Amino acid sequence: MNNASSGALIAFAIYTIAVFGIAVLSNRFAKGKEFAGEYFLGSRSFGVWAFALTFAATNASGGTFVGFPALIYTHGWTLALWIAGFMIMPLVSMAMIGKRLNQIARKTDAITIPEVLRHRFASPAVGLTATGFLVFFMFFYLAAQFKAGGKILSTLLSDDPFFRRCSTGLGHLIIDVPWVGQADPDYLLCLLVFSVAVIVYVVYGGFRAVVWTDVMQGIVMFAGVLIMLAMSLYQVGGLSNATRQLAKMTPPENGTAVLVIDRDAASDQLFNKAAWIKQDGQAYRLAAHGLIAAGSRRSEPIAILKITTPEEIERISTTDSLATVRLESITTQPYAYGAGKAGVYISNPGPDTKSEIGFLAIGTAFSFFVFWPFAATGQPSNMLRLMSFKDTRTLRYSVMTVAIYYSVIYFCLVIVFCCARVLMPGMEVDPDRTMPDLATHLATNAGTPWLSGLLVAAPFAAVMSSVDSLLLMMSSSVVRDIYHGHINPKATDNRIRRLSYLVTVVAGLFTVLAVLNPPTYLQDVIVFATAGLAACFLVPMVLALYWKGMTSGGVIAGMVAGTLMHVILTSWGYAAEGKFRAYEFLTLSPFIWDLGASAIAAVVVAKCQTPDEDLRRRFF
Amino acid sequence: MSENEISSDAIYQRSLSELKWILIAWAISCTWVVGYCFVFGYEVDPANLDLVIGMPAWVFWGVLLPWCLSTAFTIWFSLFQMTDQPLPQEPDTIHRRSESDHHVSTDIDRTHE
Repeated sequence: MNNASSGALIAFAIYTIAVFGIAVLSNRFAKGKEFAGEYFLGSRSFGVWAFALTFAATNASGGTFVGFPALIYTHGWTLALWIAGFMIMPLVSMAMIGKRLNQIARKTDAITIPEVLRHRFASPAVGLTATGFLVFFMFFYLAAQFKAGGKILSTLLSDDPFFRRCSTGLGHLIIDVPWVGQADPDYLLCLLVFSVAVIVYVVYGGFRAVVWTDVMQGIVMFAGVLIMLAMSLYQVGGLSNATRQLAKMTPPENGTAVLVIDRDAASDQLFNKAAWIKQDGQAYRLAAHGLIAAGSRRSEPIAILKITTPEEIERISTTDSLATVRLESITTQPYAYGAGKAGVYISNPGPDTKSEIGFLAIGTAFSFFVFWPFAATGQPSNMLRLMSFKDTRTLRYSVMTVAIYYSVIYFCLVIVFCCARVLMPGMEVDPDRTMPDLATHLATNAGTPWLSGLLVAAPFAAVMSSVDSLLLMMSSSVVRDIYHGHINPKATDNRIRRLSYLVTVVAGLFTVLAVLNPPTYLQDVIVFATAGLAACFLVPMVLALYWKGMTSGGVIAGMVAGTLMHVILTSWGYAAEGKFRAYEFLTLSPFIWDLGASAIAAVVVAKCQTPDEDLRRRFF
Repeated sequence: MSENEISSDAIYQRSLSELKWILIAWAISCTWVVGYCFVFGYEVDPANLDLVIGMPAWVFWGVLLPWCLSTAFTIWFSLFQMTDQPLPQEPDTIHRRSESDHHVSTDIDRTHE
């Protein structure tokens, strides 16, 4: 793990230097151009590669290289069906509205999504409503992504000696500071470094820097996945061998146990998480750090993982540091679905620790096939990119490029992390480490440990490319839609420039403060914000672009109804299950109900109004 | 202008036609993937494991093959079905700054496709 952490630290340092260089270049490129159009939309001048890769990279967030690999590892081949909606996602999310949205944005000289809607219906109320919902959901989304950036970085760097020294020093510094002192020093250090890096290059370079860094990040992700694919297939002995091994596997069991030694410890003895103990023909892995205090022979009960597949147990041996330790008072809990059942990793619905119907029931599979392409279409960050291409030829070739890019990235990731399940048993103790640990495992076995640095750069690239876009969108909403659109329409370029810098910095810092001590369910907040943005904007935007009978009232009704349904189902889920997760009525994704409510409200209200004839003539 | 009146906006007309193609493509791929996997991809017996190029047969026929065909369709659609059309020029900066929400229609005259 040390190699992985040191490699990650070097990769992050190189990355940060590279993005700063790009920001400087972008800033020079922007000189002499009208500020707002250049800073927030790159003067609508992006060609095929820039446009395609910024679109692809923005959609690939930290989840793609941390959460998604963890899911594949934990549930097996069923993730191929879970992610299948990506096969049609580029076509739906880019080609369905791209040309028309870009046309209307150019006609009205709009550079934000609320501005497009405001001009399309000549209604300040529509613009303000859209801005309000956008800022509301974006705050949640941005906060979650910043937190993801801090967590991923701390996970990747956790074992590097230099990082440990810095983290310990920071811990001493903040221990007495109210609110800040409660934060985990590892996480806090990573959050601060990550946030400062992103805020500085976004403020300095604007949209052009964001797009250019996305291009670099997109290339790194693509190369990283292909290298991992080749290495993992080679080391596992081919895909057929991996699948046959998976077919024999049964899910592990989670539980607790007490660490026991033969004589009283002379001093505190710490046993690292992820260490192995083999006893009585069974293999166990520590799922938390264990401590036997000085003068004692026993630890407190700690979390463990019990391996249940005989072939895996045979390959495992006790970690040296635990050679004199044995486990007592062992209790384990089998999976709710798949316990003791061979074949669950090569079949749907896939094993699950809590759900008795498995990981991916058919209703859920259908829901995800709806969710991936249409939720991507409804993301304002994607819509914004669709306003930035320079001509329709760029759009056509970009749709094609992103389709090929996603096909390679996502399907290959499924193969790579199914192989990881065979190569590295017991990663359930810390599934978020699957990606960096596999990178180290593959690179070390291949005799090229330096390569792990390049491979673990992919998660940085993914998170950074999402956070930078969201931060810029947040500031453009405030500066362009509220200040320039409503408070001071005659503001000078210089004033807009200064305000844009200020708002970007303040939005970034405010978000960082909000996630110093992130709530437990922050991962669910990402889902809440993503689905909420799509529920709010997808139907109103599509109808605004394509339906002559759409009215300003219909747009507002669509946004309000989609958001309300989303909030109601989330509240229902919280009340029913105690989790910040929307209720799945009839086992269908809440997103489907959100879209239904939004569509009905938009159409009903629009039908009760008369569309403006001048606007119809102008836009149709 | 009634709703059924033929539009004079070429990009709108073409985009609407392309939207219909895309929705049909999504519906077909969804039906194939979810339908095939529902019938052949659940509760697969590991004793009779059927592999195609190293992956379970249901993954190949139910996910990989439609994925390849979807990508091929996307390429064909982008190259031959989507059309290149000139996008409008943006109104000039001075005009935009003087424009208020209540005067959106003023730049109709300045925008010619």
